[in-house]
Amino acid sequence: MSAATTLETPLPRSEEGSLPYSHELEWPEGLEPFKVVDDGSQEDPYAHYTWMRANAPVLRCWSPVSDVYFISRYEDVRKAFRAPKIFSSEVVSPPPMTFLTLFDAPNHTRLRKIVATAFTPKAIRLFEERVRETADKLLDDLIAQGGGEVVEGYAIQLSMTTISALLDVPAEDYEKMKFWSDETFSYFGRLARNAPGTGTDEDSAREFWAYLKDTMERLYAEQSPSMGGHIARMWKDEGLLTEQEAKELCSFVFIAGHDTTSILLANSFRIFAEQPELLQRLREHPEDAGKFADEVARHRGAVHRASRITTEEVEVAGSTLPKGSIVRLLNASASRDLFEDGDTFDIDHDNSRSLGFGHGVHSCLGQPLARLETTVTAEVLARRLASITLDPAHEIEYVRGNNLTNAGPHRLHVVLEERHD
Amino acid sequence: MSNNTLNVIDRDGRQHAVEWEPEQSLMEALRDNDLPVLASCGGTASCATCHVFLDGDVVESLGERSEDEAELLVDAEGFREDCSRLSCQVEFEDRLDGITVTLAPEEE
Repeated sequence: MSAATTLETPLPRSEEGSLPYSHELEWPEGLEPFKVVDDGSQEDPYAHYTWMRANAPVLRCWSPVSDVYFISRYEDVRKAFRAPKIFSSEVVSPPPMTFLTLFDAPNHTRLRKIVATAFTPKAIRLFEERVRETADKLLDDLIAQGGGEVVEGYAIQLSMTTISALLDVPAEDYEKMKFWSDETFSYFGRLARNAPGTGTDEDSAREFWAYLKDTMERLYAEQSPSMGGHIARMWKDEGLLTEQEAKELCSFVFIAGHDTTSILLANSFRIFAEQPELLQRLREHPEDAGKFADEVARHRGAVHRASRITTEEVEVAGSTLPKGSIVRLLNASASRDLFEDGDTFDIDHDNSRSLGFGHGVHSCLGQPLARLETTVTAEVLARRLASITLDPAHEIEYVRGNNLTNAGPHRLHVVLEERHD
Repeated sequence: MSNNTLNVIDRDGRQHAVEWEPEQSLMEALRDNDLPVLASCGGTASCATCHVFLDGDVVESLGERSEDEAELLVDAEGFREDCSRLSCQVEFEDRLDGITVTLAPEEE
């Protein structure tokens, strides 16, 4: 923030005896004070997290709407995830959209039950061969070019193809689906997280929902066994969902089903570039690919924060949060705090206590699918590539807007060398 | 090891004979046989949506609940000290063949 801006809009001072604001703390050289809405200074926020865990494990950030408290240490985050009655997900009440992350029990249970059957490990295993075929085909193209940009060239296409198949929502036009999806997520962020929005997000979301309604009508008529057909029946036969809920829930599954997974997949390329010996390890031991996926989710997971509101006064790391406090649980920070060498990517870490896919009743619904796609990607890359290098001609570009939930690569360019033996 | 058979009573009081395979936790056997067990957290003893009732002597024979499980069960709908378990925390054992498992009520 420039000095001129600061003069025009002075940030408030904390009251005597209360937690200081992030902007009042002395951050180390090179780290801007952490903010609720990223302005580009916290796109890859791990250095911030390290400092927060050591110096401000409950960090109070000012925003025009309300103060927001960021919780960054492992035990504090885990404890809060386990106490959904104190750390409620209904930050906006009633929830403005049928996105599962916005509900507490019993509505969360009712809605999650509708979609949960499609995401059990047993149901997801049926997609394994299809994911592998798509992964191989996408990699053919990348290898033929000697590498390229992997977020658009690989990650989004694999994750979108897979979630489209699961929902039976056609996504031939990736760019349009990606646009609708990003805009709808932005609209969600505006309604549910006080994020700034794009100016066009509501109109785009309505277009996306109209498309999903037409698709669900067709799936209903065809008696499709897909997730999309199932949601349609819950709406039209069972009356468990209204039309609007059905459309929104379908969009939630679609968005959550590709956006976060794309980041995990892109980060997998990055990890292989940073630790080239892992290609050989997984080539010799493909059964370790699942461990690789779990460590990516811990070390460079896609979802960095979960939003909560306190329903009573609660003490965290020696600080008292009043009832009604807006809180962000930084699971991405907490997962780095799980081991002494938590900042190191180590495929042999025991991730049974990782928060990479969250914890508690709101644990990631799509975890088995995200894990499958990341596992297969690791296996396929190890089988086919001699090396992966970050392309020195392109810096990694990061996702903007990690004020919502996600952080990770928006564009990541690599050079690929195929194996010949 | 051969499969066990469970006698499961759902929330409407209906009985189901369910196959329990050795590599499954009790929760996985219920969920993979399409019983309405949400198991939201995926089996990490962090959510209590796989809460079941077992016979008191079976619960006793399973030994102490972990601290994580006990903490969640105390607040779970319909908790009964002598009968309640999180099914994700119950591993397969041959001797559990034929036990009765009753799905606990969901949170209101």
